[in-house]
Amino acid sequence: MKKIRDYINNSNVSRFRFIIQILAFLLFVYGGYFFIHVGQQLPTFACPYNAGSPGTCYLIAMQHGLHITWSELISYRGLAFFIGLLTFVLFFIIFNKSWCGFMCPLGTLQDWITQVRKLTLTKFSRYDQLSFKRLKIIKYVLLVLIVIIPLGMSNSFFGLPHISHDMSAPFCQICPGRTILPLFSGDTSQLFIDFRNPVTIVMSSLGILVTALFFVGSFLKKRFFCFFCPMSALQFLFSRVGVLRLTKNGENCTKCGNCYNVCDVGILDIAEDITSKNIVKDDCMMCFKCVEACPEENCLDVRLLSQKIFSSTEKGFFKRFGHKDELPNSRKAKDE
Amino acid sequence: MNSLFSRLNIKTIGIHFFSVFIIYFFFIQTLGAQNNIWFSNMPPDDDQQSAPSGMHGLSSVKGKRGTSSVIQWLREGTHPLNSKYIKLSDTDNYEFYLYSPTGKDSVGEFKRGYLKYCSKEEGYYNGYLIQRYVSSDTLYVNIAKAEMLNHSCRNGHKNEGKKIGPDIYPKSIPAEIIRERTLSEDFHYFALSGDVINYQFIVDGMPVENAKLTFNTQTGWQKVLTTDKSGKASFQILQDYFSSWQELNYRIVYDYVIFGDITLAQTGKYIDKNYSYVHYTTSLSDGYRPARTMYMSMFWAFVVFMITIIISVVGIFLYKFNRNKKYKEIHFDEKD
Amino acid sequence: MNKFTETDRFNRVKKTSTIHYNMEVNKVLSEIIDDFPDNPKEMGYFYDKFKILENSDSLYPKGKKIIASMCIHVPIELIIALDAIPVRICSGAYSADMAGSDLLPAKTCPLVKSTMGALYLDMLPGNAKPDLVINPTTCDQKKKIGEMGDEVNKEFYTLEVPSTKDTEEARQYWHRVIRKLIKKLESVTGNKLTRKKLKRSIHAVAHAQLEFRRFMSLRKGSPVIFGKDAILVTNAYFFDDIYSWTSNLEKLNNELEERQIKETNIAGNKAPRLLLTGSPTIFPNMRTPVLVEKMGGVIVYEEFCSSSRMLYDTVAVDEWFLYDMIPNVADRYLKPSTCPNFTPNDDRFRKILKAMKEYNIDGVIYQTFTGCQLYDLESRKISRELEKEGYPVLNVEVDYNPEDSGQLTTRLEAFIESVKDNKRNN
Repeated sequence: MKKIRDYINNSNVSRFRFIIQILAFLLFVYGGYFFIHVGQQLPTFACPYNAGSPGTCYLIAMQHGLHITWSELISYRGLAFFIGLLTFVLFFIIFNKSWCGFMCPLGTLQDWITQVRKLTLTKFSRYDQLSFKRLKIIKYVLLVLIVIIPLGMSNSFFGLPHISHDMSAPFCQICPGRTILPLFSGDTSQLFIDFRNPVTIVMSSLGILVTALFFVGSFLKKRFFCFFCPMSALQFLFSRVGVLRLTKNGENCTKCGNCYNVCDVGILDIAEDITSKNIVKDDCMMCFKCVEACPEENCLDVRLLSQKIFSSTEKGFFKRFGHKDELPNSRKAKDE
Repeated sequence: MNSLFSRLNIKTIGIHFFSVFIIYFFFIQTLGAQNNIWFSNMPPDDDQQSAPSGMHGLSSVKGKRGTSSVIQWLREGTHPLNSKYIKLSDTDNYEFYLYSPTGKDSVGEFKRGYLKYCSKEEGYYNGYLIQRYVSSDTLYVNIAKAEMLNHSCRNGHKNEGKKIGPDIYPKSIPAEIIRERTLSEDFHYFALSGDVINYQFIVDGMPVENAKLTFNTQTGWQKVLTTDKSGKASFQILQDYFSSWQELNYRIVYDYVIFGDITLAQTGKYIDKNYSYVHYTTSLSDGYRPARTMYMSMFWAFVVFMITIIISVVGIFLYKFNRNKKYKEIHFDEKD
Repeated sequence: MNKFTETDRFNRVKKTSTIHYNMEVNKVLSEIIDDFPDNPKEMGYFYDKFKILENSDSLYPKGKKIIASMCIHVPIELIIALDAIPVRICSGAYSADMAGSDLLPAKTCPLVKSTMGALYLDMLPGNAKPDLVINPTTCDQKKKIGEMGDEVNKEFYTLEVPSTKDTEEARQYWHRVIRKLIKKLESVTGNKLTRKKLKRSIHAVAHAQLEFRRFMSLRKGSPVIFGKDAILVTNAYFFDDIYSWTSNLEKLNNELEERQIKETNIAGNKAPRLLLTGSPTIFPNMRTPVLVEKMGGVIVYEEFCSSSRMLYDTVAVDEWFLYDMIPNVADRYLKPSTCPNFTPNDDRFRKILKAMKEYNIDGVIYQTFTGCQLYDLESRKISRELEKEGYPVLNVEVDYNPEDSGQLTTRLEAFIESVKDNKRNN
């Protein structure tokens, strides 16, 4: 038992994650061609605009499910919506936010773009703390809009006219998944600007704009889009009851900041917070790079409920960063 | 000149006119008696209750508990816009059938001038109204067919290929036109202008050759084709008029109706009259939308994409250049 | 005429100081080696390191620049990557302290006086002639000696260390400071900082830290090595070549592991396990640990900037390019640092408390140099908090003067007796 635990603690989670990401990408982008059906309430961007998708991302089900009148909401259709939401939560709970870090095809795409950036020796950008605090609100704003706009299309808020029907599935119209994921099946049909009326012109232009910003942003910042993703905001609401957990034992933390330095999203709280036990913040995508980079024993742990499955260990840290490999003969070093 | 006029005897002219008139009168009689009846999705102007709903834009009324009933009106004529709305009383001689996608019959009713049913199953509902009468040794069988697609994404997309049909009911329906499904068709199908649609004329369950199929569009344009050996004929929908932007805005649907005619030698007796020929007239009505290329532009999408990339890259370079040059100071404003 | 007298005087002072220094070193070394039985065999390498402090020219390879520094805020990785030799010149020699008294006020902390004296008289470890002295603005006294470069004929470079380590502004400031430092080092050494070299040096330092962690973990059980030897090991890191230091420490660790397997206990079961913290003990100012261990105590953990603070906390890098390596190296020398020059410094108490539990410590000796305000100010809070947790704490004021041991000895004896009593009763 100890041997298995040591093996896991010394292992290179990033390489394991890289492989899982490739498999998940193939599943969620091409799975439909192999008649795989995963579900309609997926906590990841399996876009239905892509013909090969094995399921549907929950956001589109949510937007369609909320496109109902108030009276329908308190009737059977509202019940159907809540059942859908419950299915989503059940899908989500087991892997918690590691859906973002391990399985999301858009996330994987951003990681690949990051690899391209490394080849060009370009430096990555980070947000300073003030911008970080301000910009992270955007994903909650998007989530609120996703709830309000479909309801506003079927109902009238405060006597105002109904929102135009062309705003149907508003987030899908601006989501980069809709334009980019079908490209992997050779389908360029989502790259258009719709000139029918001002609403469609604006929405489709926003969609193309967001796609362009997605590429520019994720080239310069690691996991750029994840910071603004409403799916991340929605998942965070249920993150506390997740089965997979990331916990911190503040007593063992020396505040060296290694975890913050390797974090793709740039969460400072992992390093600074020494009192909370559950350290999953709303931007965290549970990629576990922080656990890999922590040189203290049992400071950051990955748990299934309360059982540790992967901990930060001294030995694992030194092995992963190749610090044990470098020890040339001292005479040779002196002569160089 | 004078000789010409002297030749033209008023009497001859009068006889010519009279004979033409008599023949025309009979023609009109026979034409009138042929009764081009068809089911239309468009409500008469005085109907305020119905509204288009669902993915296929079928006219419907809302019922209790979120159910809705589909309505299709019975009309007579060949022009989709100008045809009369006819009401049949209970004393009129007609047969009405309505089949659900799984073949259940009598799932709806026909009264006054329209058919009505509650759509519960996913797939195509088929409604038929048959009128028969005998005139000058020929039995005229006029069949109005309505093929209505019911689908909601909430119910999933499993096995759409199997449910798509088309289904025929030769036991009760002697003649019908079916629209052939394309290979990749699913429940989200809607004809677009520019599409090629294949129709097949079926009598007593078998395709017939040399039947006449007439395609009528909203502007009055007609195309007549004859079916080949396998009873098929292909029409390509033309964009026969170009609407204003306003019309494109309202998700406009252009209606069309197809009539099929064939006369077959068959003897029999209907009520108390004998006949040696049967003339089948059957109809099918649907709508098409303007082709996406009418209002969607990939070129402009590319322009927006490139502009966004250029602006964001230049913006980022300038920002970094400024930051590298001088330290960004904290600013205070003079507001009280 | 004056000039001649100055140089003459200088040479005289240097000659006498060198003699005193050698006497001091020999005396302390003999105490450390001979007065204790059963020293680990591999400690011989480290003992020899200090023996050749006197007059050797060959401690450092020729042709490489020597970059001297004080404190633990100068990234060693950078200096090694630029093919220069890092030497930490914080001095523990009383002879140099006396020489430094001419340059600095009497109430100055003895470490600063000693270091300035050593710089003035060129009495640095291995006769190092530094090409640059990096002076970090940590405590008040170190800050002001940065202006005295001319008096000791050395080029001083002021390294701006922020006073806080938690804020974003401090971190950004520190990153800029380090980048400026790299430019300065590049111009002094004439070499360019490249990705490969920095990666190699990060690995080298990390390997040294790994051996140190192993060394410390071997002291968690029953004692296999005395604190006085441990302090010598870490003091050797100041000026030794990092690769040979690491490989010799590895050998020492192997020997200590064997001792552990054989269940050797060099101090005896009843020996009180002590933690030593405060102003750093630097060779040859080894009075406190030697006295404590002669009296029967054993020091199992030193929370000094000359020991665990210097060699703990390893750099992690996400992308092995300069744009990521340099900020991460810089962060390691700021964020986990528990030096009292930062405010607030709660991390130091947390670290000490964690060590108390892991190393099974019975009592704490908190030493402060005369004139050291920072450690003095922190001693109150830390003593209070530790006493709340139930650990006895002794606060002593120490100096470099070897004659001045009377009061220290008495207090240490009393403290160790009381800790022994506590241990027996529990």
